[in-house]
Amino acid sequence: MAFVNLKNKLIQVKIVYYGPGRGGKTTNLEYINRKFQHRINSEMVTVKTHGDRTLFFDFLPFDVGLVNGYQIKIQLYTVPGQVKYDATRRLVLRGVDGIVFVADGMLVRRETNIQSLRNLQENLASYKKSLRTLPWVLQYNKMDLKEQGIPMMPIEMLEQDLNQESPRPYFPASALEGTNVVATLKKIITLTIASIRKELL
Amino acid sequence: MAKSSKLDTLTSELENRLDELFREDGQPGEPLQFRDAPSQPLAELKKIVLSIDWEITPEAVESFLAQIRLLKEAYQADKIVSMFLQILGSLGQYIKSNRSKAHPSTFSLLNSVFARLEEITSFPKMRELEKRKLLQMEMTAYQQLREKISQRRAADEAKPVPPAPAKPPAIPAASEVTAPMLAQAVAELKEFFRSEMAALRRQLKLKIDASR
Amino acid sequence: MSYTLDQKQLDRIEDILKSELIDNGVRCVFLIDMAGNIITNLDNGEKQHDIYSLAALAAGNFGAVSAMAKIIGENEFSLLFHKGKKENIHFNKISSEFLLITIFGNDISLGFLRMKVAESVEHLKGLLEPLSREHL
Repeated sequence: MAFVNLKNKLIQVKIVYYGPGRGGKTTNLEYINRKFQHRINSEMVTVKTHGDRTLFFDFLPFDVGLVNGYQIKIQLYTVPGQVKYDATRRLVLRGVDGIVFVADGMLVRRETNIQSLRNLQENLASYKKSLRTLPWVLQYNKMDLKEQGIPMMPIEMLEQDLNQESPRPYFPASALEGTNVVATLKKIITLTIASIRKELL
Repeated sequence: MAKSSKLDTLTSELENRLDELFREDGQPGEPLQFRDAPSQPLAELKKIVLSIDWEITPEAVESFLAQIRLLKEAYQADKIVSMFLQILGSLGQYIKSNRSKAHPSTFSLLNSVFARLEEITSFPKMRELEKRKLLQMEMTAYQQLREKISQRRAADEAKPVPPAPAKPPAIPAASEVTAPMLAQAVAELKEFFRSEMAALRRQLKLKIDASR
Repeated sequence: MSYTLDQKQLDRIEDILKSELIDNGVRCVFLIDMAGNIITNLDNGEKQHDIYSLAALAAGNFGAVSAMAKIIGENEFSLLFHKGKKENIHFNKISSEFLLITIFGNDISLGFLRMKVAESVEHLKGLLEPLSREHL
C-alpha cells in the first residue's frame, strides 16, 4: 500500500521481485545497488542463509527523486524463492504496490516458473489482491546462458506459460550481466506510480 | 472365623507398621527453620519489584504498597530498614498517583533502593556505618529525583515552582547519619508527600475546571 | 491504491510521539505500516539509524512473529521486545495496519516504556483508525 506523506511531499511505494528459487531476483537488486549507488543512501539489507540463499528478504530503498513536486522513494524487496519459505513470501508481499516476476529462462525450470506464478496469485489472494489489478511485469532471466549451450525456453513458450491472461510487458534479461535490469525496473516504477497517479496531481 | 482372624492379623500388622513409622523417638523434632529467614520477607517484595520493572499494572503497584506496609510492621525496630521502606513506600505512592506521568527516573531509583535494602538485609553482620552510608546514597538520589520532578512540573506549568511546605530530607554535613536525623527525615518525607499529593489534587482540579 | 496523511495529521502524530516518548527519554521512535513504509520518525538527536532498513526489518519481524503466534494458537503476542546490552527495541501494534517501534536505553524501565507506549497508542488510534478502515 503506497503511502503519500503530504507534509514532506514524499511518496513511498513497495515493489517486490518474485519468482522461483535461484531465478535471479537477488541478482537484480545487487545489480541495481551497484549501478545506482548515488541514489541509494543505505546498504542493501539481505537476510540470507549460510548457503547464500535469501532467507527472509532483500531490501533496497531507491530514490527516484522529485516528480511533480513529490519525492518518490521506491522500496525494492525480493522474496525467498525456495518452496519451503511460502509463509515468508506472503509476509513480504504485504502492502505490495508493484511486482516484477523474475522467471528462470532455463528449460529445466519450466514447471517451477509456473508453480511460482501460481503461488504468487495465491499469496496475493490472501490479501484480496490480484495480478489482474496490480501493476506487474515479467522478466525472462538468464538469457546469457544461451551462449553457453544451456537449453533455454524460447520467449513464446515463456509467454504462453506465464503471460497469457491480459499480457503484461516482458523483458528478456540477464541479471548477472545487467541486460534489461534497468529497463525492467523503469517499467515497473512507471506502471506503479501511474496506478497511484491521482495523488500526484 | 478364619477370615476375620486373617483380617485382624492384617490390621494389627498394619497398625504395628504405622506405629513404627510414626514412632515418637523421644527427641523433640527440629523446629522448621528457614535458612534464609532474614531475606525471606523480601522475596515477595522482590517478585513485585521485578514484575513492575516488566509491566506496571495497578495490581502490581497495590501489591507493592501492601507488601511495604507488611514489612514496615515486621521491621519497625530497625530504623535503617524502616527508612528504606519509607522511601520505597513514598515512591510507590508517587507511582500510584501519577502512573504514566511519573518521572522516568522513578523506576530506576525504586530498583536501586530495593537493591540496597536487599544488600542490608542479607548481610546482618554489616556495620551500622556501612548501612547508613547506603541509606544516605539513596536519600541523595531520592532528593535529586524530587528536584527533577519539581523542575519538570515548573516547565510544564511555566510558573515558578511553589515553595514546598516541607523541606526534603537534608543531607547531613557529617558523614554519619544519626538516629534523631533519621527520625526527622522520616517525618519530613511524610510531610513532603502529603504536600505533593495536595498540590497534585489542586492541579487536577484546575485542569478539570478549565476543561468545563 | 494508496493512503494519505496531511500536514495537520502528521504534526499531531509527531506531537504525541515527542511529548509522550522522546521527552521521556526514548531515543528513537518510528511509526510504520505493515508494508514497511515509514509514516514518521523522531529521535532525540543523539544517534541516527538507517531507519528505512529498520522499518523494513521491523515490519518483517513483526509479521513473522505474528504468523508464529497464529501457528501456536495465539491471536497475537502482547509483548515483542528485544533486549540489548545498551539499546533495546520494542514493538507495538496500533490497529491492524500500523506499528510503533521504540528504541530506548537502559535508563528507562521496560514497564515504564510499555505504559507510555500504551498511552501514545490510545492517542494515535483515533488518528489512524479511520485510515485503516477506509483505505486498507
